[in-house]
Amino acid sequence: MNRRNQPNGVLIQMRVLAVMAYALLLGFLLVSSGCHTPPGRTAYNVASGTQASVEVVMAGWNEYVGLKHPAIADELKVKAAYAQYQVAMTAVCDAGAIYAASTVTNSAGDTGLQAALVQARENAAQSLADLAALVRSFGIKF
Amino acid sequence: MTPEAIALALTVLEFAIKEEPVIAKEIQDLLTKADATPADWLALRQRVLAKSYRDLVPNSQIPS
Repeated sequence: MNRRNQPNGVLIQMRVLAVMAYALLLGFLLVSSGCHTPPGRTAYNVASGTQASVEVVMAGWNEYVGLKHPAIADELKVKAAYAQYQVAMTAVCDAGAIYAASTVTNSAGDTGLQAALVQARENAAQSLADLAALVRSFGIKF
Repeated sequence: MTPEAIALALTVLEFAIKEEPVIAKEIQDLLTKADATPADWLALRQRVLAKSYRDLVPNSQIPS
């Protein structure tokens, strides 16, 4: 790595550390205030945090692509994993919107809709984990 | 947690707030107690779909 590229590497590391700190803060706040936060808000915060995380992961991948110029086939794998994540995440948002609408008439919300939201969220988390693992496989440290 | 670890965590968090406005917004949202509305979810959905691979990876070598 030449000197010109060093700031990019440091920036990636700082972004990754920022996401880790955010994840720790998210976990702490969810644990410390879980019973006081409406379940819809908790689900939304987790989903929103997941989206923020994927944007940072992709920023790290972008830096890597600019520096290392991986094969097109490798880029296509990451692109496909990102597309899979988008599909899973839109399913979360759809389930969340339906659940939120149900809380207008029933403050506790529909338990079936809540379960669907939880399942969609787990699917999206798995898609993000798959994407992050793929990006990590190229040597980008998280 | 040692004082050094706390100091490092605060430094990283400060960086996150300054350099990652998206994360700063998420932290602000975390402190909001109001329940999420359908409009919140639809806005998040739009944010998810608004960013294509090409948008997030402008250095991409994939032919468009």
